[in-house]
Amino acid sequence: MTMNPFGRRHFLQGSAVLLASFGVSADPGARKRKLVFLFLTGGLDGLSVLSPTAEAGLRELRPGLLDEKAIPLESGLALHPALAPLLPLYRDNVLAFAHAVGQPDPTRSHFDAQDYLELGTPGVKSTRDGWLSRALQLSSAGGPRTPLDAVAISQHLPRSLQGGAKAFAFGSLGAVRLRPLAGGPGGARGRSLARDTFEALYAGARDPNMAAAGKETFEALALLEERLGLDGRGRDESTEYPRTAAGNSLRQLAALIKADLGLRVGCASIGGWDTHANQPGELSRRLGDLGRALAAFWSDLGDARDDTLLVAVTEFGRTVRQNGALGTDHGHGSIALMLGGRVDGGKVYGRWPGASPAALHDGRDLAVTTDVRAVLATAAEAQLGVSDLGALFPGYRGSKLGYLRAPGLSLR
Amino acid sequence: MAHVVPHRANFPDRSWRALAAMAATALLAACARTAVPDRTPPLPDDAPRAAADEAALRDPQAGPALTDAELIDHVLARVTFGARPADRELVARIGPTAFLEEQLHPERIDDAAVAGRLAAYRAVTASPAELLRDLAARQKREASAESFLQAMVQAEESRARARTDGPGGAFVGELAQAKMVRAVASERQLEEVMVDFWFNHFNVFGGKDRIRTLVGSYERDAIRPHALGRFRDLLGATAQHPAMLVYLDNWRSSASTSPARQRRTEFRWLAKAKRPGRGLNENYARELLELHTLGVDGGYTQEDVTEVARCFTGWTVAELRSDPRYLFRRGMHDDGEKRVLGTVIEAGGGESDGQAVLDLLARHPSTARFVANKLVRRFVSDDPPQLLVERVAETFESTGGDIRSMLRTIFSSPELFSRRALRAKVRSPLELVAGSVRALGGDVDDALSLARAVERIGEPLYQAQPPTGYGDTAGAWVSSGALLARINFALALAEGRMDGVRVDLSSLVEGEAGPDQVLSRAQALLGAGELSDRTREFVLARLREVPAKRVEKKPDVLAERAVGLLLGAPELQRR
Repeated sequence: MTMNPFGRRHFLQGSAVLLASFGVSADPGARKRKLVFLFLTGGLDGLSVLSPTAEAGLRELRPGLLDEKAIPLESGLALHPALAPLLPLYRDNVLAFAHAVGQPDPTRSHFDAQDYLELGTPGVKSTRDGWLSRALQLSSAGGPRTPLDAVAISQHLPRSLQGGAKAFAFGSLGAVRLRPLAGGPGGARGRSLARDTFEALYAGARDPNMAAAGKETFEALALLEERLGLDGRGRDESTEYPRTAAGNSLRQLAALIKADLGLRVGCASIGGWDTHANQPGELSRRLGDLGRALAAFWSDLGDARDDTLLVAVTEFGRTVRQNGALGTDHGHGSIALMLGGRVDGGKVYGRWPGASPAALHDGRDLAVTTDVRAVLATAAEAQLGVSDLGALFPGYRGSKLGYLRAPGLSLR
Repeated sequence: MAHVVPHRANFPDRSWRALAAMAATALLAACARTAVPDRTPPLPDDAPRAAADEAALRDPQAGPALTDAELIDHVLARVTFGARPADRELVARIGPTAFLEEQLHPERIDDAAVAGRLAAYRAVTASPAELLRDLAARQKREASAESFLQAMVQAEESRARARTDGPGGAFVGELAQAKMVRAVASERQLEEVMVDFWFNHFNVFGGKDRIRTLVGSYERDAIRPHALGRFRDLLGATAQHPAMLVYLDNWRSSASTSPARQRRTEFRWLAKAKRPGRGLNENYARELLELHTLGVDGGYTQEDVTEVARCFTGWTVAELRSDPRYLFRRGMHDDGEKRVLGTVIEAGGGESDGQAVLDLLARHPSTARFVANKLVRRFVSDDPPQLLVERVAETFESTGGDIRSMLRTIFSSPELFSRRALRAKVRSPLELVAGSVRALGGDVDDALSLARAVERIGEPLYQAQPPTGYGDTAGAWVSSGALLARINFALALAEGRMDGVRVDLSSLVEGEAGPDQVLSRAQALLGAGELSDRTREFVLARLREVPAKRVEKKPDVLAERAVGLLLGAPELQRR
């Protein structure tokens, strides 16, 4: 092979040196907090996840949806049996829920509600940046950023990460690579030849923006290849995840977190919660999948557990009353799930609004007593050091939900 | 632009030209739509050349005037999705002025071949009512699927499709493919560029559940007929299209205290008071002012937003689930007096309130400026030269918002033909993908792989969620993940690995051409212009290292590597 006329940049030779150049210590004990945002799209039926067994009215409104095998948790709430894999985490006090969580805007459109949630501004569509992008820009935590500061496991950047902060989206880690050049070697050698080639071409770009984007791209590639191996070899894949969208997304986020690449925000969305028909079977399957994926994620994280906080939310809940197809329609309040080493777990947070006809929102949906932004704000403060609530969620006048243990009181 | 009707350049005087143009229009009546009459005279002969020379005089620091070859490439780079080799020959033959005038009159250009191909896409040709019937029939079939297992598999497959999943997702996919067919193969390139521009300006999101069956009609019936016509027509057509009414929620916006509602609430206050979706919704009003007309700094207040929203109450959609169409419902309308931007709209105006607002906005100087700025940004540079913006805004005002006239102002401006504007724009994903296929003279049998490539590079077609649409500056498109996707697309296309797209690179290696020659030919084919010495040397080194045995076995391999490297290089990310 002829020499690359631009020469290979030296810092790509060793990952420790490379990471040091971003100010990230390669020391495995280094503490870097990470926020994982899991968006359950489609409108999750919170009343099935945590069923209020004491609400006599539910037997009348949704007789076909109540599961006798639900696992009693505390004061009248029972966990969906398909979420049994999460029970050990709940008992271990690293997993908590919040109930009657949602957005103040009454929309029942998936699109609007998802948009509002990802922007963090219910009712306002014209907000420029997503809430996570704002959180990253407001962040006071951590040193210099690596090219993998914020990552979404997604074909394109989700609305929550669009905006002024740099973020990287890819469908899978395996997709973050270049094709080999025509007429050259294939496989890993071919791809690294392609990488060297384009890295040099972009390093020589006259346009500074193009050169900068090239630098970021190839540094991210190099980081991933050095730490996780080309083709994903060298990745620890001993943890068994379900082979589903949830399992795949969480497995890749865990791999990124464990590789200590400087990731601070990870994003994934899991769809399929729009259970208009045959809800019991459909939801059991999906919740089982989610429960197993989350349990695997937790076990896979290992030493990174104390630094990681995962928050799972949905755009809205579903009607209390079952519909004619043994399903439910778009509603209002739902649940949120919080998993992390600092979570004050084994609890269900929030104020129960009641499910009597008078207590329901519009006479049909679980009311919202905890603004979803109260859940997210706590996460942004703890993991990213965002203290300016007004800048994080413009127009929000609420508070933060306290579901974390004080720093230093980690029980793990 | 091989099927061009008479070359007006052959007619010595303007009245003859006009006559010839009219004759051409009549000849093509079969495939033409009603032409919007010209409000300004055609571009003077040699306008681009004169503008380029003047630019060099005015601004010597920008460097020498564009050469004729550069001028041709520049015109094609701005007015089309990318030059095909034959386009350069055509423009060289008839001259840039004639080419631009031709493109400004798409109804005079025969595009039958593309029209024939589009017939295959039902989402492009059918009405929303027909698409809704298709959808219902399909759901019925699925419901009676032979086995439960089959139904499960189908459900799983439909879920796998990101945000276009669920009923109607396939329609958006078809539209995206049709758009690729048009961008690559239509002879009416400027019209396609302007349809894309205006769709983005008046964006609706094809992923929103109820809009999927409406997007095709929105582009066909509200955007396309006016893409080179009058701004006010465009504004009115989008305002009353069900896609926009649903996307920005105006269809549910009603008077907060309409008399009809008061009567209802007196009798059944509890039930009705809690019905969702009642009352004023300001979404459309806000975006109308901020994004469609005045611009965010256009001089309006929150009160104006609310007043505009009141004017549009009752502009709603009839039969959304079966035969969606615009309808004014008097019962939802707020018939009180309103004051918009200082103008009083008298009580009792009904449906005409909304029209009065649109008239007011279309005449407002802020709108002229805002639209001019966006057009100049699209055609000239990310940082629009303000003197040109002012002239285009003047044209807007003096012609009553005639889009073709505004384009003429741009197409004869020294700003457009300044060396500073050469390759000043980053190609959007759509421009990159369509332009690369055009440059290689690729034949598209199936546009799915191209639509997917555009999506991977960051521009899923018809799926821009925010009302702003997609950005039109480098910042929107230059990012890490996207760069990888750009390069991978370049490599795949050059190797003929885009499914359904045939490219033939054999002409580049004809006569056992060596690396030097292959690179020069590829450069010319792709319109790569001047490469930096570094890039050229570097690509050459990479070509020379292909083993002779490989070249012997497959002579095209040199061409594939050269084209892949060039298309992926930073220079080719610009137009």
